[in-house]
Amino acid sequence: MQQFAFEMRDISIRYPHFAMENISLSLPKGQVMGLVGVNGAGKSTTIRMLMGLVKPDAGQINVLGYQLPAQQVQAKYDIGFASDDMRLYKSQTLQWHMDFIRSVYPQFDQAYAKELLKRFELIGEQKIKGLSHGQRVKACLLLVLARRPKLLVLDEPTTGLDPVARDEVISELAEILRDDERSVLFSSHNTHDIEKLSDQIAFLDRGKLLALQDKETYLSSWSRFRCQLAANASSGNTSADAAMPVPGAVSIKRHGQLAEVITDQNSAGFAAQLALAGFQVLEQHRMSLEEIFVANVKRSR
Amino acid sequence: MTYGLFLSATDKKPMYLQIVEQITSKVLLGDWPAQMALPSIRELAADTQVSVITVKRAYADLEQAGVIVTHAGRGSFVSAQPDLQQQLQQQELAQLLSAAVAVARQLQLSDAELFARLQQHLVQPR
Amino acid sequence: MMHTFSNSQMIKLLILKDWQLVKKSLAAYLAGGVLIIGLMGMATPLLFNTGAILMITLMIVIGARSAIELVVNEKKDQTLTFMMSLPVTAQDYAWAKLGANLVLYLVPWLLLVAGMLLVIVSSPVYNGVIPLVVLVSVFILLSYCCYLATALLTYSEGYTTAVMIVTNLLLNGFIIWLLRMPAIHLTLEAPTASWNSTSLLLLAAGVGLTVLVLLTTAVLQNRKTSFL
Repeated sequence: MQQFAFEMRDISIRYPHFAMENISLSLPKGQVMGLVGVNGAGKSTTIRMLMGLVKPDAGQINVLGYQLPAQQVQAKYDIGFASDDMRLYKSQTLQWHMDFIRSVYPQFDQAYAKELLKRFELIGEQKIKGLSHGQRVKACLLLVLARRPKLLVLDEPTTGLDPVARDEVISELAEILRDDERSVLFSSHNTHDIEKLSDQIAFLDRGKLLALQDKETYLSSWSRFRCQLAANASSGNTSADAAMPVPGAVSIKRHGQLAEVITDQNSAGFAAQLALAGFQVLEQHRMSLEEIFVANVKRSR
Repeated sequence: MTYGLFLSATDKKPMYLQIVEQITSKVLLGDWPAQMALPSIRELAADTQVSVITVKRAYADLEQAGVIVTHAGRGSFVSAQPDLQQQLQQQELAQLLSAAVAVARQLQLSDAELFARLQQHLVQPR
Repeated sequence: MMHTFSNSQMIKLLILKDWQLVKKSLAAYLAGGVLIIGLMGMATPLLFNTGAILMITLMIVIGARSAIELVVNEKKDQTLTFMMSLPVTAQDYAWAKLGANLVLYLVPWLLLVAGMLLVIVSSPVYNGVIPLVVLVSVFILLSYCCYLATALLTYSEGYTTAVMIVTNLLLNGFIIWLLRMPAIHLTLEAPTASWNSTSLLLLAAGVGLTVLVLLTTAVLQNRKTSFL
């Protein structure tokens, strides 16, 4: 019984204006991985390589124990893929698409599909061309969820959805958590969704992995401190110095006697470093994934 | 069924901490009696729509605090200790006291001033 | 190749899917075709010629629409991603596309050609026109295969349209050339159809080239490693 939902080892791919080198990414079975990054960071490329839609120049990819691209057909019977640039046939109805999917996949659950129609407030007899953006996204997700695939690969599943639709989708995704045989990989700009549902976080920027860690550890390692500079520290209005006076700090912003310090190595040791450097801690805050995202990307620019 | 846990996304407190606190208060209040079976980690994760790893961390913390007990293969249960409630309340008192001391220091009160304040509260009618 | 046949289940489903996408318009076209054949069946040269021109147009339109709708639009309308997520490889998908397009064109084409021949034989229209009708129909089939090949290999609306325009121009030239050819020209008004070496050669060349274009397309498609 294979251990991993997927494994990507030493993947490299080169495009005219973009490259990924020696990227390794894996997800144990039964877990959820959230893929974070700005547009063009490589999230969609990674997802497409995982689906066998794009072939890497080097490296190995295994999905659900199947080797890609050689065994992509067997793999795709158990993978459900939906991306925000996926479109259905405009002239056909949603029911037609459901019937089509049912003819392809034996494990399509009709009863569950009907339920999803209700929960997502969709009409089977409606033609795709009459659907709004949000309804179309939900339709694609319905087609994928009704099969209960072992691995769900979703590229921006909640992007562009109104808050109600987003809630409906997140509720269905949360149901997958019950099953320890099913795994999810999703990328999203809604860092909030990623923060809530992910077990693992993979952070991509310009084709590089900035971080790959379990969510709790990752979120705990980042912290924001509001400090007061001790009397002997030099005052000034400059933001971060060229050389960080505090090892482990990601950014330091100073205004007069007050400073804000962000670190990605939060620990008692770091607090000591702050004190040594003359920063007196007034407040310490845990950072949201969105704040971490911005800080992390800014630092690597 | 959300087992009565109300998790807030906008609360500054991390999710795992919210779970720990809410389950702890349920046990304290007696809503979740001793030896009651807790929902499985995955069930709670799905119901509250948080990741499995978060619930795992919360359960680990709860076990360390003695609020719950986990038996391999059978799941987690509310602690059977007869004086659990008292223990937890003692912990809560200790936390409140140290928090009070911390604030007092920020206000730069002397120890004597803090005692005086405490006296005031003890004397006040409920 | 072996793998392709083991995935024939999916290829059949994909062909069926394409059929369902165009069956309504095909029915409409065939209905139009019946009317045109009726027109051609009227004995006067004017009506026959009018019908013939309409029939040529119809056969071209069926092909053009099919190639654009089933091939180029799959990329343009972004339904290709939906297809790619199914349990198929790029080769399976290419085979299904080629198969679907061929079947969905050959069937109406054969029906229309058979219909025309039947009407010619059973009506006062001179049977001598049969070689001309057959040769032009085969040329139209060859043209279709050319722009189908372009569509399948480039997925570009621009290139496909360009090839369509070129083959249309060549068709006009071909018809004029045929009409001027003494072998055809002299026997047009004969009561019986007569095939001579020239016309038979042209027929063989037309069929042969069609097969060649299709085989080349199949071979080139099979080399694909990605879906586009």
